[in-house]
Amino acid sequence: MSKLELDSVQKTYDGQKILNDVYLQCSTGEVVGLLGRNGSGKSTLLKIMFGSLTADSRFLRIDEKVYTGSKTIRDIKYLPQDSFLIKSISVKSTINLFLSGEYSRIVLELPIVKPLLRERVGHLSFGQRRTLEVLLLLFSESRFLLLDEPFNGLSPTSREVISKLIQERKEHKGIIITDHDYRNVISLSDRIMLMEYGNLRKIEDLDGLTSYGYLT
Amino acid sequence: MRIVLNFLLFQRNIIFTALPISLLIAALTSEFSNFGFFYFLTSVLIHLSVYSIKPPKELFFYLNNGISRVQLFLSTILISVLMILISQLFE
Repeated sequence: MSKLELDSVQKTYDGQKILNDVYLQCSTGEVVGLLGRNGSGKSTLLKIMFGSLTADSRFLRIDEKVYTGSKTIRDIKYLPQDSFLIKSISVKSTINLFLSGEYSRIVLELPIVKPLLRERVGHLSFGQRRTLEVLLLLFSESRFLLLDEPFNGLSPTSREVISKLIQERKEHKGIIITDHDYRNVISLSDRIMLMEYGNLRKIEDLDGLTSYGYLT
Repeated sequence: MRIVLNFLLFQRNIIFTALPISLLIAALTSEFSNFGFFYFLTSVLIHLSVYSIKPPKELFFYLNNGISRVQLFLSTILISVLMILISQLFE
């Protein structure tokens, strides 16, 4: 089992503290749900973890290895809110460019992907693109995944497929997930964290979300 | 091989834009031996303006593939150096 630990994360925008000494950990085999209101700093935290955004301070460790600075880390993959796929190439090329041999073959054979292989990514609907992105990350070799709104724009059927795949693949991965569909996040997660005023709080049950004002 | 193809995919847009511009400058100045230098300037300018100020979301495709921003910039420099070497053939 591998463990990712993020500690002492601080981020300030225009003199306002967005993240205040945040600590978060995630192990392979678990899904951590990250909830919070719009603008609470969830996406900022994920970008800092991934290394695409510089923090005022960040300490990141995977098992015994410590990562300093804001470099991206091969063992962490990040699903941004907006599509990151190259629109001008085909679905098949995308899969082959993103995944190594064995995993590429598995995804190419999936029933939800097979009919789309010859399509250009730019011709897919937003939901189809989102499904493909989540699949690419779930079948990547990285041990940790940061999923920012993976269910955004997905049809109920695709949501079900993706939820099932997340449950199946979490055996090999540590997954941190955030989405406005809090019910889906709660049902998938082994632990729930709430981002509030730049601080992370552990939530034990739905009452906890109510007491912190996330739910009414 | 997969990573090399990722670099080529990234460079495709820069080459398709920088190549005609630098060829045009070389033609207008009748300085074909300096074509590589024009390409160097144009491609670095395109790279920095597109990927530094407000990078497109596609950048995450490469970052997720384990290719850093620095490596992407170095690939632009490498292609430029190759263009400079090719342009020396016109001398």
